[in-house]
Amino acid sequence: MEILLASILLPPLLSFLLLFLVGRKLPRQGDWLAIGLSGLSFLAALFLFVRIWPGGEFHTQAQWFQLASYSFKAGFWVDKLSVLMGLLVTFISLLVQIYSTAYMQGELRYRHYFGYLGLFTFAMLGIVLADSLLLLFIFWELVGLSSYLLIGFWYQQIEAPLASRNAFLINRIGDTGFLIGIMLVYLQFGTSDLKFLTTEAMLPMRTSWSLVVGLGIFCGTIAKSAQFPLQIWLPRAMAGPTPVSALIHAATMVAAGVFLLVRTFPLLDTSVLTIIAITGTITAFMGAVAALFQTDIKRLLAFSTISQLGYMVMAVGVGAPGAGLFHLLTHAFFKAGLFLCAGIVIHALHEAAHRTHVHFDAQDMQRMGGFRKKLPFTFVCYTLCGLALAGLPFFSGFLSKDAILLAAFQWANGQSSNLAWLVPSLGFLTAFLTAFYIGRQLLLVFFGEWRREPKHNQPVYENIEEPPLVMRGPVALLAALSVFLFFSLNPFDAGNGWLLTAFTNDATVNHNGHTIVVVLSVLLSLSGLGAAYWLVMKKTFAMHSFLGQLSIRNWYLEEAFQSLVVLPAKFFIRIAHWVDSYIIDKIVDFMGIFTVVFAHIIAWIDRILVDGLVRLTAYTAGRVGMLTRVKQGSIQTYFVVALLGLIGWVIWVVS
Amino acid sequence: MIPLDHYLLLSAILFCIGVAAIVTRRNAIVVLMGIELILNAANLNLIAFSRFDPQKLQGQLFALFVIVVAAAEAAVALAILIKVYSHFQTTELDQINELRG
Amino acid sequence: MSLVTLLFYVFALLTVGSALGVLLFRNVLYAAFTLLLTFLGLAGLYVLAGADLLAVIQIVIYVGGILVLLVFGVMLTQRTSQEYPASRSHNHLLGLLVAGGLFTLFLIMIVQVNAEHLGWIASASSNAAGQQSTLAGIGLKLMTDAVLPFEVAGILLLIALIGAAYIAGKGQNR
Repeated sequence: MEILLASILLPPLLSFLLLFLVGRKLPRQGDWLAIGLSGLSFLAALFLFVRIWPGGEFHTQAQWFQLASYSFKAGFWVDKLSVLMGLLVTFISLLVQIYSTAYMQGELRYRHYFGYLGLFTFAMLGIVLADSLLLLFIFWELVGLSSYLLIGFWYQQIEAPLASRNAFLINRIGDTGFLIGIMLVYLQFGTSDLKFLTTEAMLPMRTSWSLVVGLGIFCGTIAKSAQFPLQIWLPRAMAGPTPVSALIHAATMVAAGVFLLVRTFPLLDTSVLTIIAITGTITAFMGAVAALFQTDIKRLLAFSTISQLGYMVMAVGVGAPGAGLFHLLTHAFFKAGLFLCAGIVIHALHEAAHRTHVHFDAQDMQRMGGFRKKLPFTFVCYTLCGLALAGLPFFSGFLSKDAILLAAFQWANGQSSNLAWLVPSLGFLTAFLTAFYIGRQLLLVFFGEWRREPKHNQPVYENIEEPPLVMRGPVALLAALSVFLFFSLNPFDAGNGWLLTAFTNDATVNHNGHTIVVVLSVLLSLSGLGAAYWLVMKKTFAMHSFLGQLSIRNWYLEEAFQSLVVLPAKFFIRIAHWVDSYIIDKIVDFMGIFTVVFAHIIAWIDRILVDGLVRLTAYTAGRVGMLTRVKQGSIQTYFVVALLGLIGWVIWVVS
Repeated sequence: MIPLDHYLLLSAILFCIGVAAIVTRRNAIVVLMGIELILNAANLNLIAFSRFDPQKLQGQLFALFVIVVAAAEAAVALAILIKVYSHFQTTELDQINELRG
Repeated sequence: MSLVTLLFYVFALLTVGSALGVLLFRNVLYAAFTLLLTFLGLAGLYVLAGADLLAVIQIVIYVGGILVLLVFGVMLTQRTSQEYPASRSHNHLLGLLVAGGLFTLFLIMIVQVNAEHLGWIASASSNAAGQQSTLAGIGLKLMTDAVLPFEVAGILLLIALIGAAYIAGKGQNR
């Protein structure tokens, strides 16, 4: 079992190390090595999945370090949740790496790219498999680091390093809260062992503490999973290579936050859960609105991810972590598929532009259209994934979204306050918006006619070609996985599917209002698609309306951040600088002056007294020495003098 | 038993003869002989006291190591003397006054 | 006066007399030979003090080693023009002063301390029996308690050998 675990966890790390150390000397810069190692890791994860899933778990632990009488243990805990996530991570990572061989071809730091991907995968697997919060936190930080490296991969550009720094800093905010949460957990229970905390702890916690602990852990999720109000880093992270975006958005980084919530679910008490549910709802809604009128193909998908993450967090908040995890899984497949398709579009446009020597923004949807004729394969895949995202029946997204909405519905039903109904209703509204924006994107990119200025209209369009097989293969696989069949035999209800049954504890799942939810969500999805069709037919981008501005500017969050956080911070820094230069520096200066003056006094004392004493001694010695000048230079004379001195000294001491 | 004081007195006499040899003789080799006399005087003391410590033999052991050191010292000192002779063409100490300040 | 006491005085006289010879002979070779007599007398005194091994070592090392070395030194540092290696003395007054002063000090000390009546010596001499050989005891000690000094002494001798050979060697330096 340990060997199996090691063969999941170590190959990505090995790939990182090998590519960095010897990658330059390998043929094709060693991308085959990275893919091979990922494949190994995936196979091991698959094997482990088959072993663990039917039941049972595996826990291995060793003494990590000891501080006085506190001993810290670390190890790996494999249960259903871990194996599922491990399989997902290795699978998406493998597909993304295969895809990247074509997408990143000819890139300057090709092997570094694959190395970073390995590190990223390793860190995420560590999060998934770690058995204690402390160990999890270490991998958590490693994920932050590797995402920083990958987002800023094209560091020669202006935007990429800024975006990566932004992502890194915002993640620090959440991590601080997370760390505080971990410390409090340790303080309360004397351990950070996840298995103990989630299965055996009787939670003898004071209410206020449990609130702070829950909020601390949730802080980590807010930053990592881009929840309100820290979601601004995610759209900017689009500056990284597109396959990386697919990896970040689907399987690794943002999923980590949701995974953390699911993992620590027993630690969260009701008030925290309510906060989580509200935050998730707000995020889902805001993300969907922001996605409405985006013109950048990748930015739109980024906001869509935020919105879907909001769904997952909402699911955890309303007490259905299983539904959240389900959505995480389905979303991972179709969102990775969407991103990889978008990557194909961008790649194809780039190639075409390169061949015709025309330069333009390859991500602007206002300049696309009609690609279904040129990229029929991509079109099919994109449609499949997009419809899954829109939540149409017969697709995976429908099942998971339905499960979440049902849970939210029932949760609101059980709450005393009427305000609780805001959560499911905003969820339903978001479902409508989701269908709208993805439908709009589909129409803008693949339908209609090529919207390009006439002068270099045709050559570019004519030159658009389907990409090579290594890019199409993963996309096809992901698109296929967006179909309902893989998750539940019943296309309208996943409640009895293999995944939800594994994560729902009480067997008597309440199916009240299920029909209403299904009908409502189907209607909303269809009407969203219809609205999109209507808007696109009007041939307007609606960018200058209030809603359009709100959407494109992402609720002015960036500006709000500037004025609410950055400016006060700058002001504070200025004050700190003033204090530093006018008070602290002055004190330091005074100390310096004082020291110099003091040193002068000391020097005077030194010169007059100490040096004088030494000179006096030397003078005396010299005078005495002159007495022995009679037989100068004879050893024997010295010897005699020494002995006489000895005799004299003994007489003086004894008498 | 010979009284301990006798040994001590003899040792003192030997020591003082050694000192006198060092101070008065001009030949460096005789000065070395004086040093040997002093070392032997010390050894005699050690052995005389060691009589009263028959089990542990500490004094005799110490005397043994003194002999070892004396042998080494004599070898090195004579080597230096030979070098000094080849340089100054004499071993008379009053003619070797390089140390004059 | 027993035989042992007689022997002690004979050896003591021999030692002191020959030591005086070292001090007084102008001929350096004579000084060397009287030093031989001193060493022999000391060896006898060692035997009388119960240190038979030390007596043997005294003869082997001092007479067989150091004295031969000294004689070689005398031979190698004499001008061939002289009929014998003579060396006059000087500083007579100073030497007398220093040696006499030291001797006076020692004398006072010996009388005042009165070592015979010190506690541990008085108690030891009452049950002093050992007239057997000290060879086995010293050998054991050298290999157990004193093994480190023993090794260090070996290294010291090696270094002295190398150093002496290097210093006296030809033409290395001026």
